[in-house]
Amino acid sequence: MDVDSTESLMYLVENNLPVYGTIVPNAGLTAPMSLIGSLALGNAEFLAMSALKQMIRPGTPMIYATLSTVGDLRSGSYTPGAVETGLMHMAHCQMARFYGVPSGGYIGLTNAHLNDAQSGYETGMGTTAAALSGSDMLNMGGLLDSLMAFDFAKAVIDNEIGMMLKRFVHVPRVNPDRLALDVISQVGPGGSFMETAHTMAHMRETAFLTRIADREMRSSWEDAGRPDIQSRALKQVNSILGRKNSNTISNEIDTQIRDRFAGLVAGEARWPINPS
Amino acid sequence: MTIRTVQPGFSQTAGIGLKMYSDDELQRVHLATLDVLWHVGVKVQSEEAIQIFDGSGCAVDNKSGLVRIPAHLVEDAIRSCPPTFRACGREISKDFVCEQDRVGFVNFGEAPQMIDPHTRQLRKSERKDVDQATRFLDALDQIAVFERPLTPSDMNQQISCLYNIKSYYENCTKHGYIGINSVENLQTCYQMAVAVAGSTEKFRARPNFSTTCDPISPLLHSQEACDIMIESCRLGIPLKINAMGLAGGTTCVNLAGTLVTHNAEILSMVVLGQLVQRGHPMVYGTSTGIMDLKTGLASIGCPELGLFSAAIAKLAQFYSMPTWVAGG
Repeated sequence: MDVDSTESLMYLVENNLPVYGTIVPNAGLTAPMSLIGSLALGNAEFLAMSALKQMIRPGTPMIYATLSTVGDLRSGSYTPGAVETGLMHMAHCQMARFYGVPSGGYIGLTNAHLNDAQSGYETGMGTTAAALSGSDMLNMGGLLDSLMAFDFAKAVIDNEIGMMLKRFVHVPRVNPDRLALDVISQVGPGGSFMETAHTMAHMRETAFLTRIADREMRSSWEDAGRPDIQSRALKQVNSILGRKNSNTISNEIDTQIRDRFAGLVAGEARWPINPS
Repeated sequence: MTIRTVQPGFSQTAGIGLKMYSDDELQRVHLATLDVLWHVGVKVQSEEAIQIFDGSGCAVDNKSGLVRIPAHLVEDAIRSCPPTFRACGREISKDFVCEQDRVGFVNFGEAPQMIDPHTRQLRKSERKDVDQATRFLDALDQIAVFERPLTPSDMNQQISCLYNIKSYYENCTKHGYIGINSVENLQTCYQMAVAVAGSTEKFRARPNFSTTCDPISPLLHSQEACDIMIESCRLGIPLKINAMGLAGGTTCVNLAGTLVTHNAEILSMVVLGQLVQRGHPMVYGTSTGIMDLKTGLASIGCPELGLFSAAIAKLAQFYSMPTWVAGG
């Protein structure tokens, strides 16, 4: 526990602010080259941090947050997109449940430099692992290049991955309405379910209708100029960024902040920032 | 090194599993399926299949081809289906054992077109592409079992499956699934397979290819599918029964309802096959996705495909049947 992050943590806990301290063992580099050894080390780090927090303010809320990775020892590369990152997230998540604390962390990351197939499968596999393990808070959305670059289009894609994962964690129920035996009997062999009232009633909740994933026929896709996922995602980006920002703060609060932190808004403040 | 002795009776988990449904829920799906098979029935378009069902205690309407199957026949067929299936390769080191919970990967097909590896343009696939793709899939180490990937479009389409199996024997050493469109072609494939195996006895002992029978959703069995199944059971060619429903179109929009008709389609085929040859190896398959009700088009890349494949795997495990599901 280095000086800067430990002192920040102590300051925040003293002031009753939630702290999202993330443990980041990196097997083969900063942790033993075995998943279970890395889990033990990472867990010790979490417990050490938890002990400090509870000593400062008993009952302070905690989250077991992780970004546990395995080094690619061919190059020493840091691998947030590795399949083991998802596996370690699941393991830490189970430890969190064992201790009865919420879990979370950075997952759905990629080593890819572009929104390409690697970016998609690394993000998809990591977040599927995390979602199925019941992780409470997944830090995902928009990062490429081992967390070094934000990409708007990737954030839109990740948003859709999030919506698809929600289908995964809600197992279809097996009850008389969903089994629909009367509908099956009414349609009969060789019939069609499309026109039934039951389909109309359940279509929106049953099948997730994608926003950016392409489900058109190839000919329609070609007629539209063969748009790839990046360009389809960017359309949504432009639509969002083209809207008026409705989240602005009131003039009153704006004035208060400008008065309290001189030069901050203009980007000219120098440390220490003195109250005016 | 510090001494840390063995902890007797320490329990360990091997692999990460998914428990999607409780046994109660699976039993409910099973009972609903039995209900559908007896009270709704399946439509069968093969005369020979209708005769087999008729002679075994099913309620048959010869005019419409509607066959209603009593529960005891269904449960008996499930029990007689082997719980383990050895997908035999050319040699024993290429065998893949398909049984409860073991996971392996199979490529899929059959695609009528391909992306040309040099120009990256879409074009029809030809015989030379079939050869190349087959050899390529033989080399991919995570492909445990082969499935014919492409249609050779530069030949008579009535017999294109014969080219697929020839190419398979020439280029691949893994167990292979070959889709076949007629009984005559099935018999020709069988002759080729026996020639490769050495004798009919050797083929029976280690069948070096399997074929597929596909029901048509909802609850319909075509003449070709039934006749190919009957002949395969007689010749000792292992089978995969693969239902390809589209939730919201050819099956119920709800996944639970889809599961019921899907199960009824598969199990009625299992009944037919087990009536022809008790103990014949069969794999419970699915490639069921959804109809995107915004466009009316089939959606294969949907999250529901994964959910459905997981549900089917659990259902087949409930029956102790090997499974084959759609992946990507």
